Amino acid sequence: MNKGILKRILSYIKPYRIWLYVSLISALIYVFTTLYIPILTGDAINLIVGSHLVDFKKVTIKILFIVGLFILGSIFQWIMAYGANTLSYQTVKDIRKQTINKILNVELRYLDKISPGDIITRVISDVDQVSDGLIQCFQQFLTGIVTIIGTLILMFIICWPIAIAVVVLTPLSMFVASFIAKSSAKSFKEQSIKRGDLGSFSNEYVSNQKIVISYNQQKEAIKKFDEINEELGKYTFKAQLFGALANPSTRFVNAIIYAVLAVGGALLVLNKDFNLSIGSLYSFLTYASHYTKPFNEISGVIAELQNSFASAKRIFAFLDQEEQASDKDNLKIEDVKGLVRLEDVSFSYEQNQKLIEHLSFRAKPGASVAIVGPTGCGKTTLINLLMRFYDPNEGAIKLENYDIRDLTRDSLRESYGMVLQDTWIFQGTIKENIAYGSENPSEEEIIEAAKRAKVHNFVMRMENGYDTIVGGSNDLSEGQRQLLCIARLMLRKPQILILDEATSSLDTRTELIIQQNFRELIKGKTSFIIAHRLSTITEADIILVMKDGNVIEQGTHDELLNKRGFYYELYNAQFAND
Amino acid sequence: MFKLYRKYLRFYKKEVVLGPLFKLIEAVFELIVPLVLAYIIDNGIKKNNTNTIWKMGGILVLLAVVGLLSTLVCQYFASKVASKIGTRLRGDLYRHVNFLSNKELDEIGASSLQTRLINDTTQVQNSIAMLIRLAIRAPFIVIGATIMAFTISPLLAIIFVVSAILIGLIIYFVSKLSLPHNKKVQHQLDELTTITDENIRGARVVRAFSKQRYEQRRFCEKSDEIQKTSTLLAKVSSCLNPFTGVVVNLAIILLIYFGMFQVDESFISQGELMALVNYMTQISIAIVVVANLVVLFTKASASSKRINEVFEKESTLINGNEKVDKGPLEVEFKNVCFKYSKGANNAINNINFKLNKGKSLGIIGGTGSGKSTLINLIDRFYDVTEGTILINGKELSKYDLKSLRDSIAIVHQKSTLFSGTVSSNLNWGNKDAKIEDYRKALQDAQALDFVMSKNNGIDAEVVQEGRNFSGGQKQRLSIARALIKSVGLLILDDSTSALDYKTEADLKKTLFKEYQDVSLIMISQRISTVKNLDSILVLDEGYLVGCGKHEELYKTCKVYREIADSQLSKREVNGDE
Repeated sequence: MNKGILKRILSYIKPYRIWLYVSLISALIYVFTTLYIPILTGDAINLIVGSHLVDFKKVTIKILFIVGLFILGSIFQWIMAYGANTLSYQTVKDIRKQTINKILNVELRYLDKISPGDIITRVISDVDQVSDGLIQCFQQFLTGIVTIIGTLILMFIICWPIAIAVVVLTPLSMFVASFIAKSSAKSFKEQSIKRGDLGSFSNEYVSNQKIVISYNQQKEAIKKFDEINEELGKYTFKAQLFGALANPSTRFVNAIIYAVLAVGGALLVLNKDFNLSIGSLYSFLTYASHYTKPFNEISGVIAELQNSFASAKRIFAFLDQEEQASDKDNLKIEDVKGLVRLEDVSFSYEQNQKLIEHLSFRAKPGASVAIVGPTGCGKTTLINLLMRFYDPNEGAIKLENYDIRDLTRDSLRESYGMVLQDTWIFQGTIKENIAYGSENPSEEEIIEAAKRAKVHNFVMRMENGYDTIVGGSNDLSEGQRQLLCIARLMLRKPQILILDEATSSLDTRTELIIQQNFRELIKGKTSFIIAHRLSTITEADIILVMKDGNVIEQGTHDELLNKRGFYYELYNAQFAND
Repeated sequence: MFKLYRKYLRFYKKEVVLGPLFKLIEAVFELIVPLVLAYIIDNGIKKNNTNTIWKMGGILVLLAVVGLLSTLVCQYFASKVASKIGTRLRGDLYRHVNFLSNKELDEIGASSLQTRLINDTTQVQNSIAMLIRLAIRAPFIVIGATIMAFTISPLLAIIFVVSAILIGLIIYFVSKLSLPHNKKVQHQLDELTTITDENIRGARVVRAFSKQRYEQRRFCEKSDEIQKTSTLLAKVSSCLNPFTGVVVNLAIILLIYFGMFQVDESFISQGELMALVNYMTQISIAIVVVANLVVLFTKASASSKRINEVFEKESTLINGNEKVDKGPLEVEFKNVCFKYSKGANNAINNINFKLNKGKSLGIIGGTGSGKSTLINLIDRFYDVTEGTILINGKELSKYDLKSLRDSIAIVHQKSTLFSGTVSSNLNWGNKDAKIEDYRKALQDAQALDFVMSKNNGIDAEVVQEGRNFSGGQKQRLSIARALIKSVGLLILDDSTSALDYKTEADLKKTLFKEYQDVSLIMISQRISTVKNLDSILVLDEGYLVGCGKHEELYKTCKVYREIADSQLSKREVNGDE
């Protein structure tokens, strides 16, 4: 499993492998210098035996060697770090680029199902985790392993009997480390669950603080917060303590190993058979501490790497989502008049839940088609099909006699202009938001569209007018957001218009004006209007009354009223008051 | 950062003193190790004394054991202090948030407050643990090693002092240089998050407008920036270890160089020189730990800045001490103007009206005409910019906020329920509510039927944001929550929009029948909602353009007539129902 992921990560690294080699070679050089310096230092100390026994010249030469080595080592240490970082950031940039392409081209079916927060976590935090993992891997893991191997070799060269003792004692330190890591993992998990609880509490309460204030519930809210917080505190203590045990415990084991080596080493120096000098003992002891240190770090790095693998897995799972079929060779439609036909269309989101069945209708160029019906009857689904956000399971949708599956998506969608119930404003100026979807409109055109969408007045009351940045959560009312989306459409002047409850948050007076302006805009063009308020659609050329995925009645307002059917009931329900 | 540390560390003096003290003991023991080693060389090996070597080995083990025990004590205190401070800090912060008024809350923003409450406090908490556990150890080792060096050779100890200062300077400058880049990366990541979020939520719009290429470019540009800033940051922060490494190694060289003269003149022994070199190595190891902590502390410092920003905010509302009398309220606006922030234009201008005790008032107007702003002022979410608001003849600001809000019930435009049960939500309006009170409030709010049809009746579960109820049901439950509160003024802010016409009519009927001794304000976009009220205010772009009864307004107020004509049939306008 991990093998596949590793292979895939490596394939991302491939273009930047030069940095991999640079940092690998630098690591080797750096580790070599750090390991060689103690030998030289040991040699130097050996030469400084006691009073009047010092060979100044030889020591000075050694010293010069050491200076050269550590300067070299420091330079390569920096290059190693720089290489690892560059490699990781470049790789991660490429991965991110693929994620945005995936977001832009994945089947909408997938995006509709998954929560935005989930994808954001993958694109932002998970990718960061992979980047951290890569850096750690190249900096600590590789140098750690090189160090361990290097010190082992050197220790065996200096004195093989104690070296064997070191190797035998090593598992002890690893055993202690892994035991503590296992027990702390549990408390860390408990801690993060409680932190999640506190997070969702504050999400709920802080974002609705207004209601908390107006019901004087501050004290109660604080009490609830404190309860969860206290519990979190307990788990935090446990997690912190376990986390804090790892280092001292392994350090203790290492200190014991060190003591064993010191005594054993000293005894061996006395035993002339082994030819172990005091300087060599110094070098050996230094290597021993160099040798044990990576084990401490590696247990941490391995946890980090496991996290990175888990993150990479989540990213790849997202990247493996199916994309829409390519439409490169399809026809680009131009000169749309507005003839739209549905021929025996059936569609459902879930296989066992039927939604639209055998639906057929025809909208002539220039007609205004209104779609009404109770919630869940499939009105919005129809738009998903018209815009080809989803493909029908059976039947065909035709635009100007072309099956829309034979057209490029871009050219199909360029013929349409739509405003949806869920308004979408991105972080940017008002001007940019209106201009979205039009190619380089002039300032005058933007203002003209804004005026027709009744946006101009409230924009002029804002501090920076059309350059005001919007897109935060609280800066525009829902009605104002709808108006901005409408302005976008007024500027784009589409061939076919789709309005899905586009004026639901507007007051009726503004709605009337907007409708009038729309009517001018779409003179001679086809329009589809979905509305909850029936007063909005009485003038439509054809009203489709939908129920349970079927069109059960169609005709003009008057025809339908005369029919005294479902539409008649719906229409009269709104006057049932008083 | 230090401000926050000082504020909280003083609550745990015992732990804060004892923890590092035990760490000090451990550090001292660790510093004794090179001395023991020197002793082994000078007295054991050179004098060929096996006994001494064994004895010293025993001492090494003893040092390790005592070192371990004292570290464990320190870790215990550190974990305790960190978790306690974390808990306390979060509690204090949340308490403070609850004392702020809407103005300050708007300034910070809800999502940012949540990040500060959860993530930033965790950063500070972890930094405190690391401070006690690791960071304090490094200066101990550096200072301790220097002192030890002095006892061996005051002359060579100068090298220790100089290198300690140099290392301190390197850490200071590298972290100072990397801090701004670090912040920049964080900021750019936030921006990338926003772009990603927009692209997911706006997937339909992006595709409908064929803006995929544009969005891809926007994302990649930001991603490029992040890569560049991160690389720059890496260039700077990667300098830390090589630089300190150079200093430490240089110091070791100098020790050996000057040491050889000292040994030659027999001021110090070979073993002592080795001890000095060992001390320097220990310093370098301690420094590496600090270097790894630099990132943690720069993050914690940014976090504590953000936390302090919240603490520094004070509620701008000055509390009065008058209590609001029981019974219906009288509300009067005199020349009231209000703007949300200094640079902005007035949200409402020069509003004058009076609502008499027990009467009803409708407010109607288009999108953004200032209706909800008016309500925010009555509940004193914000203070007026100009003019005065009088409740029962006294200025609003004279009243105690709690008493004021206890006597007003508002149903907001966006109905919000909290996770719990139906009854725990209604409890907000009246802590001591009895079963009859629940039933009556639900009945009056036209909510009893659907609540009772649930499995547990009034104890039915409500999930976060009330997602297990439909829009209309949520509105009716919010209304019930307001009705259960016994108040002098009831305000419905466009809170019947999701109800069908019949339910709304029933609700209104009940309100007029059952709540006669309560003053009532109803905000709506529907003429039918307000037309039968005692008086109606018409707002247009922040100005009061009409005030009176339906018939009057229809004749005299152009805006009102336009709204009415857009909604009602002739028959209804004329009022012959």
